[in-house]
Formats: sequence, C-alpha cells, structure tokens
Amino acid sequence: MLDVDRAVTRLAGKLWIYLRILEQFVTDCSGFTESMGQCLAKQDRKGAMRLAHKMKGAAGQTGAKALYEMAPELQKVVGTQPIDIALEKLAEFEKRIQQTVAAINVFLLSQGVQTAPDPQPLSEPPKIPPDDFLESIQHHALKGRFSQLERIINDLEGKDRDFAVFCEVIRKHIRNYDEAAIAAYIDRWR
Amino acid sequence: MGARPSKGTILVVDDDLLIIDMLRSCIEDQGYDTIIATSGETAIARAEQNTTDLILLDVVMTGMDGFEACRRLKARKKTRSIPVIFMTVLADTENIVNGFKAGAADYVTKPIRIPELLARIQTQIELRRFQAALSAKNRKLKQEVGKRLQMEKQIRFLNQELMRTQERERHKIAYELHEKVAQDLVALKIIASDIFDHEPPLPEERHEKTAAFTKGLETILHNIRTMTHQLHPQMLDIFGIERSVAAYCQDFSAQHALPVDVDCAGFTDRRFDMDTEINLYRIVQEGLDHLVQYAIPERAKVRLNFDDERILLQMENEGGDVAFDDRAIEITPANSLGLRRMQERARLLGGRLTIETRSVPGNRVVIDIPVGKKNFQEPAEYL
Repeated sequence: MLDVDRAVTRLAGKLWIYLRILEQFVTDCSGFTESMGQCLAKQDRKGAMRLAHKMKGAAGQTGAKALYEMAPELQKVVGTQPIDIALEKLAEFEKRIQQTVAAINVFLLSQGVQTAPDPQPLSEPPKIPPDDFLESIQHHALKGRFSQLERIINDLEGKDRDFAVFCEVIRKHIRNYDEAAIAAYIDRWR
Repeated sequence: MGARPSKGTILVVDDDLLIIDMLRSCIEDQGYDTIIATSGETAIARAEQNTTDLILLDVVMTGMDGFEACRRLKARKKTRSIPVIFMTVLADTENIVNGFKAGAADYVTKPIRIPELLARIQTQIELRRFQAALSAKNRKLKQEVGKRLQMEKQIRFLNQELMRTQERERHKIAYELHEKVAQDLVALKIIASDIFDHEPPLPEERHEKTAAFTKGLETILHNIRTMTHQLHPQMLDIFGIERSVAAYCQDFSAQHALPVDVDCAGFTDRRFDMDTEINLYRIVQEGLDHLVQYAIPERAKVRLNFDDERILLQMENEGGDVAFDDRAIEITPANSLGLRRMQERARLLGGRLTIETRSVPGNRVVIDIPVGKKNFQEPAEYL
C-alpha cells in the first residue's frame, strides 16, 4: 500500500520532508472524491481527468503504490466512459484512498506524527502589525516569496504573542500558496 | 550565525501543493531561494517580477499549461534566458520532444527523484552563470574592439593628415628651390659666363678651373630641378593629372628600360583639386616602383579612366612575379609599405584599392575613387 523506502530514497533520504508531504497528501485525499464527483456532475471531463492525473503524481511521489497504479485507469474512465461507470470507478478508487490513508496514518503515528484534526475557525486577531509590516507581507506574497513570508511571520510572532492569531491566518494562506487571500486579508487591516 | 548565501533563486511552478511543498523543502535545504507560482499565468508574472536563475515548471496545470507558459517565457526579453526544467508524469517521447521544442533546458519525470533533480538544477545554474560570464566578456571585448576601431580611425586620419602636410611641405620646398635657389644660381651662371667670356683668354690651368666651375653650377642646377620635380611635379600644377601621369610613365619607362603602356581616357583636360591630383600621381609613382621592385616584369600597363562619377586607375604587370599581394599588407607589413601607402592614399580620397589576380602571370591593382563636386575645385593653392 505504501512504499516508504522507495519514496524516502527519491527524497535523498530526507524523512522529515517525506513526513511533511504525507500530511499534505492526507489532506489532498480527504477532498479528492468530492472534487471528482463535482467535476463529473458538471460533465467537466477535462477537469476530472486533470484531478486523476494530479493524484497519480502525488501518489507516485508519496509511494502510495495502489493509488499510483489505479490513477491512470481512473483518468481514462472519467475521461471516456458514461457517468455511471465513472462514478462506479470513483467509488472503487475511494476505497483505495481510505486504505492508503489508514496506512499512512499508521506510519505517521509510528514516526510520532499526529495527523491534524480539522482546524477550528480562527477568532479575530487581538493585535495587528504596523503598516510597514503589512506592506512588506503583501509585497512578498504578491511576488510569490512564501519562504521569506514565513520568516517574517515567525519573527513577528516571536516578538509579540498578541500577533499569533494574525500570523496563523497568514500561515494558513501560505500553506495553500494563496497570495490573493493574503493580499485580501492584509487589505482588511489597512 | 548569519544566513548562508543563496546559491540562486528557483521559481517552482505547480498546481499541486504537495509537489510544491516537497520541492520547496528539498531546494531550500540545498541553499537555494524559492519563489512559488501555482499557474502558468502567475509563473510568467513571477519570473518578470523577480530575479530568477531557474524555473521548475509542471506541464499539466489548470489554465495555461507548462508548454505554453514556457513558450511565453522564451518570447519575453526579460525571461528568455532563464533555463526551464519541465516536471511531469508524461514520460512519452512526444511530450518530451514538445517540451524541448517549447524551449526547455531539461526534463524530469514524476515521481521526482530529488538527487537527480538537484544535480540537474546545479548543472543548469552553473551553465547559465558561465553563459552570463561569457556574455559579459563578449560585451567587454566588443567595447575593446570598438575602442580599437576608433583608434585605428584616428590613426588613419592622422596618417592622412600627415600625407597631406607632407605634400604641402614638398610643394613649398619645391617652390622655394625653384623660385629662389635655382633662379639665383641661373643668375650666378649668367654672371660667371659674362666674366669668363669677356676677359682676355686665361692661362690653360685657370681656364680648366673656370670651366669646371661653370659645369659645377650646371650640375647643381640640374640636381635642383630633379629634386624639385621629385618633391612636387610642377607639371601637375600646370597640365593636370592626365598629361602628368603620361609623362611620368614615359620617363619611368626610359629610366628602367621597361615598356609601360599608358592609356588615359575621359579627362579632356579636366582638373581636380590638389589632393586628388597629387595622390593619384603618387599612387602611380608608388605602384610602378613597387612593381619593378617585387615582380621584375616584362611590361607594365597603366590605365586611368574618368567617367564623371569615378576615377579608375588600374596598374598591372605582364610577366614576372605577383607584384601586388594583398596578403602582404597583413602578413609582412614592412615589405608592403608601398602597397600600404597606395591603400592609404586611396582611402584619403574616399576610394578603395583592390587586387585582382589574372590567369596570365602577374596581377592587377585597381584603385577606384568616387568623384564628387568637391573634387572639381580649382587646383588648391598651397603656397
């Protein structure tokens, strides 16, 4: 179900990176069937095929063998077969997803990693950074410099815990590489 | 501890957050900075906004695909030199070829093997740095060449000015010798004749001395006239280029026992400015001297034609060796001074010198001078 050795070897033996992408993979898997179902309902065959293609890439990278092997078949069916057959195949795929996610959770647990529960909605931040900080955050976000952005947020939080909520919101958008959401959030406070 | 210096900035383009996360972690761990884009459109904007050393580009993305994004990047001046490495699950030959056609520098397939990707990244970034260094050197070299060309132009200008000044000075000295020294000597000779002819006959010994004195005066006068002619042919001022060249060739023929055929056409006593006339005359002098010195010919030909727009001077030898060797100008400058001076004079007149080989032994030098309004001035008065 999960070829850990091969996946870690591909990552030059960096287990910490592997654990990080496994967590992301679990998140991606949780929304996969729903997204694919929506595409099929809208007759968006291209969109459905793209999702299956993307799943193949992610499964291959994480060593999720069963999903990696089944994804091309799913891609073909959702692109060419009638909807009822495609939905049938999707259901079959979902079962594999559940099995794979279960295997991943076991592995993560063995490595001391607890998969994150669904995030709680964040409250309003008690304190907003000064304008020059906001400007800097927006500037880096719009240029796609997410690592630099993370450093700024970490520094900010280290200086004053009252910025924690603000930083957590920004961090959530960084995780999604969503510069537009960051820019919109900053605009709220300027 | 201070942050380690960045090894370069890599733009990672993928719409799969898992792949971006993985690449970001691996690449930054190796000391590179990253910029992230999740679509082809954003990738183009990011590449233009940031200084980017390399782009890792996914092929299958929502919206603009990687191939199209790559084509657009390669079409933009600011981004065309950034190497692009495609990353895709599509491992078939057709897709790989399409990637390279779109302008990719390299191609990796998913699942990505990070050690291999890092090696490819390093290679491309180093290659780009070498190319940048090479381009910088080329630019510097071009500047150097430009400077040298400018200096050569200045040297040529100075050389031409030197030749002009030399001709003016020659003319001036010739004038002084002819009008003053020679005239005084003629007067002295007349006085001496008067003294020696009207006195009672001198003793034999004195008579020989006075005869030697008179002969000496005549020799000096002859030498001064020859010198004057060599310094500046007075004939040129009076009769112009056509007749002066013909006369010079006749003298040269007699002096070197070499038949010289002269053919001048189209001049009908047309006069040109002094620069044109004296330099054409000098080219004929230098050409014939060069020909005798290097070819030992059986016969020489000089053709001088004017057709309202240009003067064409052709000199050739029949028999003997190759007299005019253009390689000599570059290879053995010391041995080709005559040819160089001819070339400089042709340039001074805005024309050019070419050398033509012929099937028969010997070769031909052609001087082509464009003639404009300025060349038709009355002969310049140097004195």
